[in-house]
Amino acid sequence: MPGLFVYDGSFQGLLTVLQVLRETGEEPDDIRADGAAFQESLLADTVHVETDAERAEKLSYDVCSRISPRALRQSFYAFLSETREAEYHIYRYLWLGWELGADVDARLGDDHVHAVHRMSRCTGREAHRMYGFLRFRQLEGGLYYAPMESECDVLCIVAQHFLSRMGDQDWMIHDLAREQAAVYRWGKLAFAAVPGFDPRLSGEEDLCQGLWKKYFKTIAVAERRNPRLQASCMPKKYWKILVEEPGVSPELVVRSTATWRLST
Amino acid sequence: MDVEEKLKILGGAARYDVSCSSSGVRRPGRKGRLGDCTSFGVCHSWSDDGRCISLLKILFSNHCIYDCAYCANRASVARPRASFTPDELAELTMNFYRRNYIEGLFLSSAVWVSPDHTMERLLLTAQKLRQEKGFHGYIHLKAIPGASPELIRRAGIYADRMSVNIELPTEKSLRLLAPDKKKEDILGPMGDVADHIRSNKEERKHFRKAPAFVPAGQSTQLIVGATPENDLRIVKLAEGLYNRYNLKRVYYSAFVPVSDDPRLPGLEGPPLLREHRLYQADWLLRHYHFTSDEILDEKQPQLDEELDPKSGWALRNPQFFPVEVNGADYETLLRVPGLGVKSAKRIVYARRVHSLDFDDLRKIGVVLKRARYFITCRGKYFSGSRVSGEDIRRNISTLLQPVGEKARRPDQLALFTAASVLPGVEDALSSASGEL
Repeated sequence: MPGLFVYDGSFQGLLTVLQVLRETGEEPDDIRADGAAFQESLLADTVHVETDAERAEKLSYDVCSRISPRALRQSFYAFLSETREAEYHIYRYLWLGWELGADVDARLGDDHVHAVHRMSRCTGREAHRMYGFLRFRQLEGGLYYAPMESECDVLCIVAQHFLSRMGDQDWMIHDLAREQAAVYRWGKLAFAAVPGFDPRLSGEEDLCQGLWKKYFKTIAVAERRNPRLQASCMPKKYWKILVEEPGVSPELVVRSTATWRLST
Repeated sequence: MDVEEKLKILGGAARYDVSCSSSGVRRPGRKGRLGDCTSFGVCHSWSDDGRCISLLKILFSNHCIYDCAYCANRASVARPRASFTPDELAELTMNFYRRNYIEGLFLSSAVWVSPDHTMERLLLTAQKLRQEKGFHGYIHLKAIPGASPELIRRAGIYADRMSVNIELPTEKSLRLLAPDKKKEDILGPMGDVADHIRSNKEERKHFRKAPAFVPAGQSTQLIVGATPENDLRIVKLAEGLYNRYNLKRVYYSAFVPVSDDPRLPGLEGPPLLREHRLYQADWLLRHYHFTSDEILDEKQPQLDEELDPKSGWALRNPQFFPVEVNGADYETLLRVPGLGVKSAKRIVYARRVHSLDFDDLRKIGVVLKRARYFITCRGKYFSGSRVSGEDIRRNISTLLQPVGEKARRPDQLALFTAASVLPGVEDALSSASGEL
């Protein structure tokens, strides 16, 4: 009796599991990544699936041709959201896709389709935020280094964005929580694990950060001060990777209350 | 004077310019080069007033020969003055861009020495960035009113977007507050840019490699509340600008009193709610295919502060409602208050597979706060039966009130929670709920 399917935690691994399920026609109770948080249930049978590049390739090809390339992207983004049960939703979503083809994405009322879309949107939104919020710091030796903290595993998406943009400088994006980094050097992008990386800033860096901080405070119109709007557009959890210092500066408070007092 | 001091003076002087978008042009990056543009644009930060920072918005100079009453940099006022050099600005832009602080440069300027002198400086800066520094990010340049057409044309080759600020909605106000500027000086460059964009588009149909001229289009800005024009005038003007000059955006800027000039009205603070309503009306023009006559007329020349303009239109035209979501076409769905472009598209997409009820609508992300009064699903109202116009008005303007309160009295945010749980709203719904 099949129950719980376990894979190595990579997207390729998940695709392998899904291909195995297609070949055998089995129905999983759940699909989980093999990791620290995983505990084998006593009741369910556990099947460990070895990642197999060929099988993964077959499945992604079939998703693209029999459902749509968009469905593969949705699944990948949903997977990157690292939500619990993402795998099972993806499984149900794709299985509905075998029946409906590209129309599966129009089944917005279906719980699994809905869940996959929601998770995929979450990843997409956070990646887009990182396009804006990452701040590169120039290190000794000229490498531009950006620390990143995100809930979804968006490093590979974000790296693609900067690959197109920052072609004439070496850079590195460091996912602090996952201890992974995307490094662009000598015209090539690579991903690597970087535990305990210790960045040392270049001499010029302080000056440039100072200019940006000053500009950031200068550009705000005191009479329109609106910290709520600021925090809702730019959630506070991202503030620590910034260089500038959002939040109300004392100077701004004094000037703006003075204005309002005049009015009341 | 060092760059930091200049940045403080000239960044501060640029803060009243509203435009900040970096969207509308797609330019993929090239290997070994710096910069690309994505069609959707990216915001990099939000300043303490809640406005986004996407571009390095800055003046080239705040030495001004003009004396416009509404402006913080007018000639007659004593304040620190500074000017950049093209080199300094190019360097600063590159340093910020390399660190991902910004999407590009938005360069404006006071009129320094003469319009042509100023325009030339802007042009030089853009040229330096593009040619010397190999910068492929976004550049937004101001077209200086009164500058020669040739300079503006040359600037347009380097810029992604250009803008000429109209600032004041009528010639009369212009004469009163900005006596040095003439209407022709503003509309002239705007017309030139529009013509060049049009002919450049034609040219590029035949020669795909021809350089693009202002590919992200042009925009302008109007100051709201410094002069007595009503909303009807402003919305009509915006509509005219969209139709005649093919503008991408008209920005509205709630007037912040920067001087006690007797020609200016005494304001209690910037009219933020009015600005908000004007943006909503503007969206109706651009994305919802409304005309200005549908939004406002001579009898009602002012936008309703309590109600968004689309709800206002819907309540004045009950004959178009209710709209059946499973049958109505896209254009009709767009006119339902509370349904945006995204929701309308999702409805059309989702109902191909099966018919929708209110639960489905919620699942696909449609917000029913306002829409519920104007739609039916499979012939059924959300609350079981039709709600009268006055009740709808009361209910949805109660929901909207917090925005108004917030805009007028920013310190009393507690009102928001109080207003949203007012008994009237919830009771009206639950007592008549057939669908819940």
